[in-house]
Amino acid sequence: MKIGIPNALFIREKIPMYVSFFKYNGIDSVVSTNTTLKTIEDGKEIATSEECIASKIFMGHIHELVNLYTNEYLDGILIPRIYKNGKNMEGCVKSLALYDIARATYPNVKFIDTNVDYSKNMTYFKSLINLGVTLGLNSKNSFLGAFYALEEQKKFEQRKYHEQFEKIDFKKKNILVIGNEYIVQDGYIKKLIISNLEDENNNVIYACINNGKSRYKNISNHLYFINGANILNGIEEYLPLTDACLFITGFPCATDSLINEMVKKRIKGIPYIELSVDENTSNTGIQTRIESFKDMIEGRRYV
Amino acid sequence: MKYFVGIDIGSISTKGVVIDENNNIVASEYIWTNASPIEASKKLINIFREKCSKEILDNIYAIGTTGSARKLIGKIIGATTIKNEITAHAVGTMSRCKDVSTIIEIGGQDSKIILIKNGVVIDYAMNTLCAAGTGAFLSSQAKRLGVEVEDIEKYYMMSKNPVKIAARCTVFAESDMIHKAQIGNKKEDLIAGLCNAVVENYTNNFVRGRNIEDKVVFQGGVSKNRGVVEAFKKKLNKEIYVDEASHLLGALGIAIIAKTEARDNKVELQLKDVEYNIRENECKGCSNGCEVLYIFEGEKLLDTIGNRCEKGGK
Repeated sequence: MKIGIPNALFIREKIPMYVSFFKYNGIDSVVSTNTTLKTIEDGKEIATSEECIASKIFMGHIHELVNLYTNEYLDGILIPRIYKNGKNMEGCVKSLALYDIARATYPNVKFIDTNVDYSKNMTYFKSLINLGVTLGLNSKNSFLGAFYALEEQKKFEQRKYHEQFEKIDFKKKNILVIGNEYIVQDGYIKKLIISNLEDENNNVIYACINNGKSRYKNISNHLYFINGANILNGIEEYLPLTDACLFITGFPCATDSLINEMVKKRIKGIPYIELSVDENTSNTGIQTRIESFKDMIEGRRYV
Repeated sequence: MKYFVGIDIGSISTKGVVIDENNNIVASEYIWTNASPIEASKKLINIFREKCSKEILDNIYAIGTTGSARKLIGKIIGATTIKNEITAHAVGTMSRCKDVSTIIEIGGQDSKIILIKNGVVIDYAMNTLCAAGTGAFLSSQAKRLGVEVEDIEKYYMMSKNPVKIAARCTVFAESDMIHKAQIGNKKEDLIAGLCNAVVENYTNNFVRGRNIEDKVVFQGGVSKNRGVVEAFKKKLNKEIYVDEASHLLGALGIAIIAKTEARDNKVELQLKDVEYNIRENECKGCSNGCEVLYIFEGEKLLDTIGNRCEKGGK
């Protein structure tokens, strides 16, 4: 059996978990390739025009996997449905709707879902066991597989965190890139923005990769969206080490709109700009902004 | 004496200055780009070659380009420095006015705010998605009303009761204005309303949450329009300074930056009388489809812009 996993939106950060779960049970998994301009073009055609850039990218990845499915290379495509992935906070509503959007767009394709809902005690662990049941695996193996998958996910996150921590270099300027994981780490957006930013003088670190401690309470006691909380945790952790901050928003983003004023107030005294990206964002506009941002960080006096 | 050249190739106009070692402007020129930056630069350079003495032309040590066509023109004329317009404007303004803290810049297709502290840019913002409230908007609306851009300020001063025009989107502003005209408002009130809409749009976009501190300098092509200057004074309740060379400050800034980065060898200010062909292509190297600009000098490939890996640019 071969199952496709889209490399986009909320699923992105949990890919090691799903891949190891399938591996443990002898199922092959195919992760869609990194986002390119073509992914976005495809997604733009399929998704409704009002949707955010991240959803359009997601639909582009689904399009890629559906192509594999129709060529009988895949037996199904996994899209988990996430109601609530934290105890007190909501995730973006998109995470709830993705499965149904994909199914409505491609009625003849087999999509596999599994629900995550922390308010009903449906944790990632239990949702993996349910996934095993849906796929007709035996219950012992899906239990052990879920255990193994969560271990692997934890290892992966720790490794990512350590890699970033070792990357911090005080001989260079450290620029904290703020934004949702699926935006700032996305293949295309990375190429569009981060590749222009990172050079021999500037080092990029990401707020979304943090050690998960609830530091957001220093900024605001109550937050509605869990994505926002994760970003603020990162800001609180790395702010003492950074020389400049860049906030990348996928246009339009509901979760970012609730925190960007808070972020602006928290970051005082160091260079800070906001960039919003959509599918029409051109390279030239971005370059001018990034170049002048770098000049600002360098802070050189000409007169 | 050494001399340095700065060229600011904007969407609407192309500006050039020649400065000496003490940042004094010895020659300057302002011409329309007319959507053809290469032709405009050719014209500009020819004007400089006629206008300047041989002593100046023989002692040019650096050429800098800025503005939206900076990379293309920079490559063609062999500029020693190519820098973005935000830094260039900030440097140009600081050289004329040491104690500036806020720069308001409204050009042909973009507008920006630059905040400066202790001689360093600390914050800036540029319009992102559309060109509402910029020079292009003002000039097209003035044309619709049958008014020369140069006369806008006269009408502004005449107006006693400016109409209210939506400040967000150019399309809405236009339909708003047509409606106000059709119900019989006077021309001067419409024009004053337009100037206010430009200011309103600017403050909505950029001032939000930022501290506008003295001294405020207003520049870019639109700053030559006293109607908008007056509207800014009213809105911000602050004195607004407009330099007499406010339309040249980007070019001046890039000339100064080029001066600091100049080497010891002389450069020649000239554009060969060759046909330059520009071809924009989507690179087929991978599925990222980078837009690569190929510059041909006659038949020969001179350079490429926007190439990001070894696969492209062939």
